[in-house]
Amino acid sequence: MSLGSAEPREAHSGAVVRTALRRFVISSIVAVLLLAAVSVYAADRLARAEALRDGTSQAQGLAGFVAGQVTPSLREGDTAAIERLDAFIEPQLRDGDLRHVKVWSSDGTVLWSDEDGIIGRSFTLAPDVRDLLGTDEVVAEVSDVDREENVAEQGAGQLLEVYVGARDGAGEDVLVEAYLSTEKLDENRMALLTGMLPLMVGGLLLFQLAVFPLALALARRIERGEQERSRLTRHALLASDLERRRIAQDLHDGVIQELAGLAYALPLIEADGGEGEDRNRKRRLTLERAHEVLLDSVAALRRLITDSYPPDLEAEGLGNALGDLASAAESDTLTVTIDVSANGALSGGSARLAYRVIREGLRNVTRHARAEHATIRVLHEGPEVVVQVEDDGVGLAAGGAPEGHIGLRLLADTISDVGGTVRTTPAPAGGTLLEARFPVDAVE
Amino acid sequence: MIRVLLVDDHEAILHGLTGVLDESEGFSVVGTAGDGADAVRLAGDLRPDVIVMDLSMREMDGVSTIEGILARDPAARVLVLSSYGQPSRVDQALRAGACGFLVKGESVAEVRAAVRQAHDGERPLSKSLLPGLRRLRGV
Repeated sequence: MSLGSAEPREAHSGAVVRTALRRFVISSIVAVLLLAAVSVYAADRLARAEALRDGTSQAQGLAGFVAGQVTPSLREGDTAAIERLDAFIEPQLRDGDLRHVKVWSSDGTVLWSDEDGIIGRSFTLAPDVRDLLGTDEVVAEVSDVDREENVAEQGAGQLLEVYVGARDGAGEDVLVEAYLSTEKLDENRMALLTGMLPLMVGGLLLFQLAVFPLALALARRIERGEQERSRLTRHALLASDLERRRIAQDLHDGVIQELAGLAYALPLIEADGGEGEDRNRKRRLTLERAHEVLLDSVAALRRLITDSYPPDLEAEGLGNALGDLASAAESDTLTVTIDVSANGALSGGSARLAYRVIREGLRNVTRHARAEHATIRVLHEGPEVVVQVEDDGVGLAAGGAPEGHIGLRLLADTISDVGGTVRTTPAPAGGTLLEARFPVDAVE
Repeated sequence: MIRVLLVDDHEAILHGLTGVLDESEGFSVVGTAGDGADAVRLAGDLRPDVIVMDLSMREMDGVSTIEGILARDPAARVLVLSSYGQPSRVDQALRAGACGFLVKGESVAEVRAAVRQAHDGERPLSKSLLPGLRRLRGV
């Protein structure tokens, strides 16, 4: 019979894996959304910059010609001069991106516009626009065209508004203002998005798919670690609880009973009837019995201490420690033989494990086996230590005891943790053989 | 003379109590048993006035022993003398038919008095057990 775990193996709950995967998926979605938002923003900025660059270039070309058409007669409202400029601009307004054009004088008067009603009116120029006067520089922006001067442009939505500094035909500083459609801006934005977004988001998704197995493996590893930690904690608690119950049981079955009996017997010294020699003999017998009880109680308490705090095997040696265990187990009806041939080959960890196996084995022999003889062996076979406790008692079926089995299963868990095995089988002599095998260099 | 049967799996207890009761006027230990099965057999054979018995024994536990004794002799007076004084155990023993319950550690005089009370039809109980038993029974 090989011994299983001290507690049922926990079902693979997968809670840690599920939580980790849920977090991974949520963080992936957030990352994709963030990347998409950043891509849209970047595409908009790039498209806007490109549209402004194109618009600026177009407006500069236009401004050179338009400014040259501004003559003193146009400034004075000459209809023919105005119509000449109208005739030049009109095809461009009809066919291209150009929507409206204005020519400003340096004092903010509209010298010419494709919208006749505004010619001759004055408006306050924005400082950055006024600064263009006397230069050939440009100010361009995407505008909602909702200023006072935008008589013709209002309601047209966003337009690309470009101011260009120029000089008219007479060498006067003027400003040429061109309003261009933002359709190109939208086209650029869409072209960038359709080119960039799938690459970036797709790349991220591919990366996440690539790291998914890694994340899954990591989550599973963490979960296994947590389960192992949890198992070890339960194992330690169970072992501690078992040890406390054993101590209580030992105290109840041993010292408490002995001392309680002594408490009832001692008053007999005073009360023992009879005369002379007979009375003295009774008193002497009672005192002798009390003496034995006290010595037995002290020995039992020492055994309890030894069980609670195992000896320093490295200092005392496994052989000596096993000798103490054997002496404590021996009685009028039980003898114990020791065969320790592997003593020198054992590491500190494997010596402690051997001690624990034998302590548990002898405990079961004394409690349940009703044996006359037990043999304990610690042998070295190849890379393994073989520890045996064999008795000639009543055997497994008759001597079974749940409390003892819990102790054995806890022991089996400990041995299993270091890569070993524990099993109990019928012994050749009719009793039970407890055998543990584990690596000679085992570390607890 | 009150005839007493002692039941305990610890030799020291049997030895001490036998001495105490045998030396006391009005008591006589008519037999001792080291386990429950022996106790049931001797109680039927000897018909003692009072059976003083431990509750925690190997082979056959105390409650089963009480039930076995009373099955053969419903009038038997079983006084439990145990190291364990947990209310649940006391209650269990009393419900099984024990007439009283003492914890080990009571003085010799109290043990004698309790055996006499059991013999006289009373229900002796260690004073230290009363609060816990009342709490358990909600009285």
